[in-house]
Amino acid sequence: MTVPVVPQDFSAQEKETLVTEALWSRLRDLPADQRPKVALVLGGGGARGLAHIGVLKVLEQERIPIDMIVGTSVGALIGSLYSAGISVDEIEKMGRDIGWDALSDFSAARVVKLLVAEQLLSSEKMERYIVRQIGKKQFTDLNIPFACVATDLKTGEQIVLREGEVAQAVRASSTVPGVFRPVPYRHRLLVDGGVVNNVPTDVAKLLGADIIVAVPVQADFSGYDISNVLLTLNQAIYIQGEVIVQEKLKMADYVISPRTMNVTSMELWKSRECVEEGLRATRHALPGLKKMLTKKYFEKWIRVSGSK
Amino acid sequence: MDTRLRKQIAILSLVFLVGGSCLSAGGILSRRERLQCVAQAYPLMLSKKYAEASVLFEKALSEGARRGDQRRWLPLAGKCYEMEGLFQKALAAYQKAYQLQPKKMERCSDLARIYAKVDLRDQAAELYQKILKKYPRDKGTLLQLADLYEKLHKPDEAEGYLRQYLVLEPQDLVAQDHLSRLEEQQGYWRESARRLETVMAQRPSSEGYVRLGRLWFLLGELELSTNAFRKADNLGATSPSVLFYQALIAWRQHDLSLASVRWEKLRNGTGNKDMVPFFLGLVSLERGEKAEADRFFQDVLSLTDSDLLKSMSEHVRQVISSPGDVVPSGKNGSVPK
Repeated sequence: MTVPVVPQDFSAQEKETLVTEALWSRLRDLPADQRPKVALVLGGGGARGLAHIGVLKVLEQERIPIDMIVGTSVGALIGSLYSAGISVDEIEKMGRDIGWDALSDFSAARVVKLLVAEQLLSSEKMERYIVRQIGKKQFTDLNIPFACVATDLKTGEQIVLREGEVAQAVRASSTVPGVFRPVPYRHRLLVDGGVVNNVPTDVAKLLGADIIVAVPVQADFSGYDISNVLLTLNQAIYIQGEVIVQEKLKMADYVISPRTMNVTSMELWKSRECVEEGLRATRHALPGLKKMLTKKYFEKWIRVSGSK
Repeated sequence: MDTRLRKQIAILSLVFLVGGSCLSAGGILSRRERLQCVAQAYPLMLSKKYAEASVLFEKALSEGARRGDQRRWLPLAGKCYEMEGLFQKALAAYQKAYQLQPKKMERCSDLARIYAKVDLRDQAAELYQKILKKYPRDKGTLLQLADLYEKLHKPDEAEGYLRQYLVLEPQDLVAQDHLSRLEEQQGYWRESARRLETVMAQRPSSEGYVRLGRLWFLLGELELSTNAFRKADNLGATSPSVLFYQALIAWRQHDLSLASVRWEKLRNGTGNKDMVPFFLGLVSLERGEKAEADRFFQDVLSLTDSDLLKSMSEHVRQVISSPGDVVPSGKNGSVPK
């Protein structure tokens, strides 16, 4: 979008950009009770979820208020760190340095035991890692209201975790079934929330969000190898999950879609690529996102002011 | 004209003089006849008589032409067609030439250029990338790729090639300006503004300063925006758009009187008929002038084609018309400073 030679009239797109930017700069600093509540929903996807760091960077630079964060799996991990007050730059550094050995008792020997003797790995290290970053914070201690989603392996229920110790909840949300041992939580056995709800927009709605910005980090499963039983099953499970994701995305007011298709959930070493993609996708989404936010902020501002 | 070409023309001219005209009636031409045609075509081509030259090249290349001759003459025929604007014919000639010499970069370049002209941009890009692989510092190719990817609506790739070009030619202000526009398109407003500032420092223009003023405004840098618009004014930019931005700046600085005065000046103009009443409506809202605001938003609804302006204006009018409602005024519910 560029300005033609000293124009007489603005193009349709330029009008909308001007109105959006002019109003947004005035409305974004409204007190919380005079503006809509914005929820950021961060989807699961293993290493692909490092793109959420790029998303948070841009939203912060643009001063887009985030009133709550809801996450699944890696979305819960990054969301919890940000909600606890860890800076985006710090989280990015963690993303660059982290490996699977920091989050689990992953090793060649253990993988062999998993495959041969069906001994699941432990995700306790992940909990200890989170505690090292944010301490034994409770949900109520967080700077930004936060919730995460796990799955009860015994009943198949979606469990929304928003009280108690954050580290344990995030660990439960990120525990991949069939790889890690389920996390005992009260009378339940919890695993990755992605099994039932990889992009929990409905949870954000239930928790009172007026505006939902969702960030799915999808894989491209069209090129996956389906030449054996395990891989075919893996593909089928992924497809099932995606059907649910598409339904959940319909509840979002805006979707930011980083293109992380060429990163698998295991490739933590592709951190830089994922963060860059998160940055790019959010920058690309900004005009539309701001337009949507401005409109909703404006409507609420007029309504709230009108009731005084 | 290069020496090799001169020699060829001299030999062929001699052949032509000795052998007479090549315009024999019907049948497959002999090699001598083909050479005679080409001998006539060359000088015509050099004199820019492309239509006449292309007829002769066509004859020379008719059925039975040797491969070696096709390799030499097809690019020339293609060039004549291209200069005449017969791009499809040029495409056919260059394609055939490329098939005969796929590794020759000049054939790649000819075909890529004509692909771009007939809007086969993906194919053009593929060939330019082939050239770039062999000649990674070829500036012309980098610029062509930037242009192509921009037309293919892939601004991030266009930007990449332009950046590579600017490493080789950092003083190229046209390219710097182009990159600034691409950065703006992708939402990198600050980077775009900084780059444009560098360009304006060396090659000021009213259009450039208007664009710069706009970018600074969008970034919330009101002082820089004001300065840029002042410079645009000094260079003779008298567009209503400049006055509109200046009104917006005043509004952003909470100088409602100055903003109103500037917008009122624009009301009788021909441009931005919906934007002016929209912002005048907002000013009225902030002053608590309900009835006035309603009139302005009613104007907007009758004039605008923008969905955003429509929905916002409708919403305001709904709230204003609800009994007992008070629109935002100075103290309660005013937009924060």
